[in-house]
Amino acid sequence: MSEGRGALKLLLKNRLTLAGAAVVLALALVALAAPWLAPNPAQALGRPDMGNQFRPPGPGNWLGTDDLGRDLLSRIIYGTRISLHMGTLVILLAMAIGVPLGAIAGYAGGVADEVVMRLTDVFLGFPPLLLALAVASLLGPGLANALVAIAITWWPWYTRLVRAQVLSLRETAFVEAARSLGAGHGRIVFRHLLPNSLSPVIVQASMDVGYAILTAAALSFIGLGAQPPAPEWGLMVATGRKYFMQYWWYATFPGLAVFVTVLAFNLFGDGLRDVLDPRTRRQ
Amino acid sequence: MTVRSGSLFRRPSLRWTAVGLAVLLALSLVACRRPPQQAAPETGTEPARKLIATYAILSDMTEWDPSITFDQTSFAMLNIYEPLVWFNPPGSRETFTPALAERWEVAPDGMSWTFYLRKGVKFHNGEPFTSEAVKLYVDRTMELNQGAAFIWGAVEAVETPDDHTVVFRLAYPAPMDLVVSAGYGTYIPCPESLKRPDAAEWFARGNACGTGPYRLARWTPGEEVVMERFDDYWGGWQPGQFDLAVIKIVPEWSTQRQMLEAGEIDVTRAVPVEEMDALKANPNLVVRVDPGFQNLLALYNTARKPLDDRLVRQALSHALDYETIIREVRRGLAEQSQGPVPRGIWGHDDQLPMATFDLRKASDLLARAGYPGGGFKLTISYETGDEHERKVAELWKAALAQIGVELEIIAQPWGVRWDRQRNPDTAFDVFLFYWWPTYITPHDWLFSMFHSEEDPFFNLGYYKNPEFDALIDEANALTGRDRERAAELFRRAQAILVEDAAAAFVYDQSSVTAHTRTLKGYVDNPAYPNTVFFYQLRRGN
Repeated sequence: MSEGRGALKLLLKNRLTLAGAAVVLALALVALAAPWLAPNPAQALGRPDMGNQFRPPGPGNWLGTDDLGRDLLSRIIYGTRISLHMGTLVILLAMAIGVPLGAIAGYAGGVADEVVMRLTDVFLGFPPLLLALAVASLLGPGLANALVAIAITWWPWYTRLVRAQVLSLRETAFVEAARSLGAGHGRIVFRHLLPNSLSPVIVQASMDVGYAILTAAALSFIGLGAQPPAPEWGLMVATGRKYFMQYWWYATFPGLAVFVTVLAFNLFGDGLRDVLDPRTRRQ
Repeated sequence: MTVRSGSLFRRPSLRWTAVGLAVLLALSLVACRRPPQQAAPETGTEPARKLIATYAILSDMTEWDPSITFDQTSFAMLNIYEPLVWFNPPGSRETFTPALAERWEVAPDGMSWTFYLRKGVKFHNGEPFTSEAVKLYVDRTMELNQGAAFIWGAVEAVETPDDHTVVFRLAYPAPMDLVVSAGYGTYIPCPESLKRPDAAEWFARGNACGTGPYRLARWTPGEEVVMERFDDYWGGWQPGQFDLAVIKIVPEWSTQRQMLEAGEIDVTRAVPVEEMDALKANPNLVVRVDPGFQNLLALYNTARKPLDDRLVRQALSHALDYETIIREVRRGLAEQSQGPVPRGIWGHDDQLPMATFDLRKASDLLARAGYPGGGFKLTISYETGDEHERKVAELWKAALAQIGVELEIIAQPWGVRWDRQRNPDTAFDVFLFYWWPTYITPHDWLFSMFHSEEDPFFNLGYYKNPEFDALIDEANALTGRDRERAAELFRRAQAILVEDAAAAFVYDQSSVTAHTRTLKGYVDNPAYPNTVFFYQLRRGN
């Protein structure tokens, strides 16, 4: 309890972290309440309104309209859903693959460790965006495929992280004690090792959501992610940039949305690390 | 308790965010980048002030082999090389302008064509132009069988009875006057270049040797092609014509626009329809709209349910809001297509019915086909980055949703979607597709996209109709001898396609050219799309 309160105090003390957390929370609320917040849900989901294209920001269309006359604010609000959805799912999927593999590698050691670690080396050997791009173009365009592609490039980070944690915990006294009391491998890994390895994973995950969103937006930007008429931010930037000279708002606002979201997740994750990491806390 | 694994946490967080965002922003803000100031291209040799014209294009030259070129490299090639005959732009009094051939005739049976060549023509290397050059080139092109080599498909033998006569002996009657005026596969190079043992490599390095008004001076990949005037050109030179013709590769439209407005380039053809009005407002520029020979079609996959049913295809064609597309998407720079062959091409039928936007009718047709209220899903493919195709797809999707048909839109680069479409298992239901001719005959459209094929190449809707095949085969054989009769048969074939709704015929598009006001003499010729003929241009006031 007292530890929790200390963490909260630390969170509150760091204004940037707090701002990040507030924005993340706000984004989640916007995503949930999109149908009520968006002035024009039908347009957000793609219905064109020809004759109304490229209206500048102003009353009626607070962020202007796009090249098919749709309300940009509505589309950006709905885009929050796609981005958060992508960000969290990518990380969950990456963790689902990465965490158990890391635990196995760290706990079993030997051949299993070698195999898993060399595998992560292979994946980490490619620049992440490039690998995601290659996988996504193999799978074909689409949000689901982009999700898989990004997760495939992401899991090795969690594997390495968890393995390192498990390695250092494996020989500690409490694990020794559990083992001498007759606990099986499964119990040791899942009841003792993993729970105690999770806080860096959570920190990593909270920061990675931002990157995942950015990568998803990048894939959509080059046409490998969301397909029209999805209100995906990266896709909107990609389309809008062609009209940038005359209609600045089309690319700018979705771009800002990506910027703010990624920044918020990063600030939040950075702060979370400071809180959960005992060494920085002692300072 | 927790131990930090240093290496992982050193994965720089904010920095990479910043880099990522910078990339995203840079991509979106690329429009703001000012191009580096380019000095006028220097040639070094002559001291006099040279007249220079510059044409900006979006993508670089690829293939300099005159037997193989089949893309934008032709923009340079058509200034450096010449065909036997030019095809004139629509509205001209004559169909053809003699180029390297002065006159020609066809045998009564249509099985041989004789071209009488121009005398006193020199190649850039000083060699005289003779029938040998034509034979060498055509034989080589057929042998390599790449690019547009198929246009020579009817030719059985090229004969050279004397230095200035060429006879094409044919395997079947083909319209050789149209073939020799094609935009690709017709550029006659000097025999010396073709006789080189390393001819292919020599061309590939960016060399050329033709009879055209300009010779290739320099190609800097990714940057520019510089061509200088060929003093011995048979057409002669008038004061005011350009000494240097430059094609600049500028991949971003926004950069092109800035260069045009700053007078760094003279011509561009990449004007997005949305920016036409803004350019028109600039007193230093001329913006012109010309009819084109390119049209947009949506090929229906006639081999797969539910589009194997003509009624469903007709329903889809009635769910396209042609008027809105032309007014809002093309900003008026198009006309709804009347059948597959665009206006301005001989053999076009101005009596063909055109589909109207009528959702009730579409819904009725679906019900008659056994799909009351729709209830099925279709995929539509368009090319990544083509905003016109995308908007057509999005408008179609919204309209179809109202009659219970779900349309899934998929964007892919050309190579990928073409591969997918050619495989019946991975093909999309609807394939958005532009067509423009290699040479000017309705057969080009009708055969390429609708003649039955074993292995689909461009018949990407898997259309198969023996009656149609027979009609266009016969019409093509007649084209060389009796163009009137051929046109009539081609019109009957088009009526079949329209009745059958083999595709949605979306629009015939016009093209936009923006050039500086001081550039005079620009003539658009859609038979050679996007080609600027520098020889016709002058600098004025």
